[in-house]
Amino acid sequence: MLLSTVMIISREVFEAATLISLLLALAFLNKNSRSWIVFGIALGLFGATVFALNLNQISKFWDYRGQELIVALLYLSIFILLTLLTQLYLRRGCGIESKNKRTLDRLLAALIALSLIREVGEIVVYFMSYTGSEAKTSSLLLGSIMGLAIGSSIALIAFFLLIRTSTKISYRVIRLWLAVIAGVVLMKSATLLSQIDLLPNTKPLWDSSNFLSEASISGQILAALIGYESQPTAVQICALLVGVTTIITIQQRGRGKAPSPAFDARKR
Amino acid sequence: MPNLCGYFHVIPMALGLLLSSADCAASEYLLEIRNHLFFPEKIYLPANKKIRLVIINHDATAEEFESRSLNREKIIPANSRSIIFIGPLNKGTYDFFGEFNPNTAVGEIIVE
Repeated sequence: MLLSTVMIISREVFEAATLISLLLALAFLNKNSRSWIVFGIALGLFGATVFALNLNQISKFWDYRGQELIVALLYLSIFILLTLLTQLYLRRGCGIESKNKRTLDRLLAALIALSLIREVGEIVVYFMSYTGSEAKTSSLLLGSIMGLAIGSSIALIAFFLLIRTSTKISYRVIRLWLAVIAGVVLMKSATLLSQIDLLPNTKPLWDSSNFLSEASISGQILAALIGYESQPTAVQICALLVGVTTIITIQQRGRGKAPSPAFDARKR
Repeated sequence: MPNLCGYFHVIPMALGLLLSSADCAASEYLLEIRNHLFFPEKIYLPANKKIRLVIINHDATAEEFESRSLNREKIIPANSRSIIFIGPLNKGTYDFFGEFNPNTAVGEIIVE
């Protein structure tokens, strides 16, 4: 039980922490308000609890399609907010003016909250299943601490690297990684809609599981970072490409003016 | 000359719709969860067919049905049922497991 708890917690935390670490780095680089970040985390935890407590009712909705619908909408919302974030603040040559910082605060808080709902919701459901027995509770607690530490470690390293590197490089990495994450969340949304037959189910285009299995540690890390699938379908690949190219297209449609001082606030 | 640069992300979307095909009729198969075990452990399915998998969880705790080879993942609440569409699949063996109880809840889908 300890080992399965560590695996579940570390995986879910890692998936959420990947995006959150980028958003926190963006907030840090632009000296955004920390209180909004705390609000986003609190809202995400609350939303996750509501999701977990009502999962039974959600799952029964529309001939047992409700769970996938809600989670697909969550992912789509994340994608829409990422495009908005890119449009307002991450286009080439654009700067973050002080009057827009409040909007950025709210955008970051919303993204953090949405990122937490699904992943933490699953953790809450798992906890609800095993509370009661003292032996199981201690395994749950210890496994959760270990899982949280493992799951957040890579994201923390990424965060500190981003805030310690030159601002120019940090923004390039953030832009690229957000484009990948946008593609991944759209791909996940498409996968869920295929699961309930709202998008076509097709055969996989290729099978790279012999080369890199999703069950391996490397495969799971790549799955969380870049949405690696060993047997992707055409719908998944198209969703990924649409997501990535949408963000990159918006990024490239810069206004062409010089970056504002906020971009170069930390000179190295 | 219209600026088409902002629209090239529509191309993969259109390709996806053109490449995808769906068999409207889906055969239904039953999978049950009891005492953190899947019944049956092995499911035999026909190749190249869309399948509607009905999963009934008889346990008092939730289970998460997961299959990396099938790209499927869903939490099945306690004492409830759910559905997952899979396929069309090529011939072969596809593993699935219960993520909340990976040591006991394991199974295979064998496509012939």
